[in-house]
Amino acid sequence: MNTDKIGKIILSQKQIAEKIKKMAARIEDDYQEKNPIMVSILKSSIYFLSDLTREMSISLNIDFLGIERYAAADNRGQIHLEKNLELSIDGRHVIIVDAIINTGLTHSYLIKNLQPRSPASLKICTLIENTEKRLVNLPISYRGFTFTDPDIFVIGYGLDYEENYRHLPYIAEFNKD
Amino acid sequence: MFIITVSRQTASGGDEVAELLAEKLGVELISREYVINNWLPEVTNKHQLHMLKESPKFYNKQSQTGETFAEYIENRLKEKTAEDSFIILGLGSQIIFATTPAALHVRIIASEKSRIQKLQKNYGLQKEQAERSLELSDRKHRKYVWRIYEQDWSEPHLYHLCVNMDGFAVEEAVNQIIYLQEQHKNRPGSRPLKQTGTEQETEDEDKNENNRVFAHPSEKEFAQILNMHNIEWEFEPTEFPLEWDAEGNISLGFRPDFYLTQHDTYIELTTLKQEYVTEKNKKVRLLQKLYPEVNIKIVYKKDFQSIIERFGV
Repeated sequence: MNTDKIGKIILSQKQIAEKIKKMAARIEDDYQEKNPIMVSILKSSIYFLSDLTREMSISLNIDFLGIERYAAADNRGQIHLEKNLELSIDGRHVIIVDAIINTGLTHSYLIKNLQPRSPASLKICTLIENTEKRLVNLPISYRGFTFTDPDIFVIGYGLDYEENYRHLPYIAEFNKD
Repeated sequence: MFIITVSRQTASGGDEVAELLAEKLGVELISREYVINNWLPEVTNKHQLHMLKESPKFYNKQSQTGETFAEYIENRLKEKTAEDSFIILGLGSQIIFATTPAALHVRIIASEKSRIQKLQKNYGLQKEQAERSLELSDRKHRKYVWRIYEQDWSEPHLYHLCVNMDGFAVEEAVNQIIYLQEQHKNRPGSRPLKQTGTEQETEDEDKNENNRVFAHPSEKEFAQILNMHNIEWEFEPTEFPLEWDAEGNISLGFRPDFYLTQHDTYIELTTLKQEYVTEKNKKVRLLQKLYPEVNIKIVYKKDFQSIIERFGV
C-alpha cells in the first residue's frame, strides 16, 4: 500500500463512530417491529453495514448485492447484479446501505431493480453523500455526512482506489498526483 | 405599393403568418432581426447594439444621426416603403403607418391556452415554464410600443383585421389577409399582389426532427452510461427562453443536453473549452433564476472524466 497517497483525514474513526450511533438510533425508531432487510452494496459498505447494524437492537436481516460492469459484444457498457439477494424482499421493508453516494446512477439502477420485487418500502442509507456530484434524485432517508466538494476523492472505511485502502479505519482524501 | 404590418402576441403564430405572407406575395419581410442585422450597425457601437437588443427604453436614446434610435428606424422604414412593397413584423409599424392609405394593419392573436401549448411543444417546456415565458414575453412586447409610442398595442382600433389563430391554420390566415389586401388594392399607392408557391416548410420540419444526432462524442458516451443504468432520457427536448429582445421576441435560449424523465432532471455536459463553460454557467444561472422549479445539473469536464473512469467500459 502506497501511504504517500493517503491525504488529509476527512473523517476520523471517532467521528464516524459517533455519527453511526446517531444514524442507528434513527433507523431503530423508524423500524420498530418492522424487521427490515439491510441490503449492503459490495464492497464499499461492508464496514459501514457491520458497524451500523451492531449499534441496533431491533430485529433485522442482512443481505448483499454485488454489481458488475462489463462491455457487451457490441462494446456497449452493461451493468448487472453479480451477486443477487438471497432473501425475498416481497412485502419487506428494505434499506439499501452504502458508504458513499456520488452521482447516484448506481443507486438509481438498484432501485429500478429492486422496486419490481414488491418491497413494502425501499429507502437508502448512506454514510456520505456528495451533493455536488449528484445527477439523479434518490430517496435518501438516512445520511451521515454531506460533502460539497465536487473534486474530492476519498478512501478508507470500505472506500477504495483500485481495490486498495478499503481497510483504513478512517476516511481520508486520496492524493491522485 | 403596399405595406402589411403584422403585430402578434407571443406564440400566436404571427411570425409564421408574416413569413408566409412575404413568401406568397413575393415581397421582403422586415422584422426586428432584419433591422438589428442590417440597419442598426450603421449607427451604433457594440454596446449600443447590445442595449437595443435588450431594452425597449434604449430606443428613446439619441443615435449618431441626431435622431433617437426609434426615429431612425421609423425614417428608414418610411424611406424603404416609399420604393417598394413590404411585410413589416412588429417594430410599432401599425402606429408608424397608421395613416398610410396603402397600409393594411393586421393583428395575430391566440388564446392563452393555445399559446402555452405552442410554447410547450416548440420548446419542450412544462406548463408552468411556458406560462412564465409567455408572461415575460408579452410584457416586453407591450412595453416596447408603450415606451416609444405611448400606445397600448392591444387596442383594436390600431388594426384593420384581428385574426384569432385558435383552430385556424397559418395558410388560412394568410389567405384571408391576402383577400382583404386584394379588396383594397385600388387604394391610392397600392398595386395588385403577386403570389408565389410554398411547399417546403413541413418537409423541412420533419427533416430536422429525424436528423437529430449527438453533436459531440461525450454526449454519446453519456447516453450510453445512462442506458447502462436503465435511466430513461431524452436528448435536448426543451429549449428554455432566457432573454427577450426589446420587442419581446426570444433572443437567448438554452437547451440542456439531456432530460432524465423519471428524475425530472436536466443534465448539461460541459466537456468543451473553458470559454464555453463560462457562457454555459451564465445560462444555467439565468435558467435557475427564471425557472426555479427546474432541476438542472452541470457535468463539468472533470466530473465527466470521473464518470467515464468509473462507469465507462
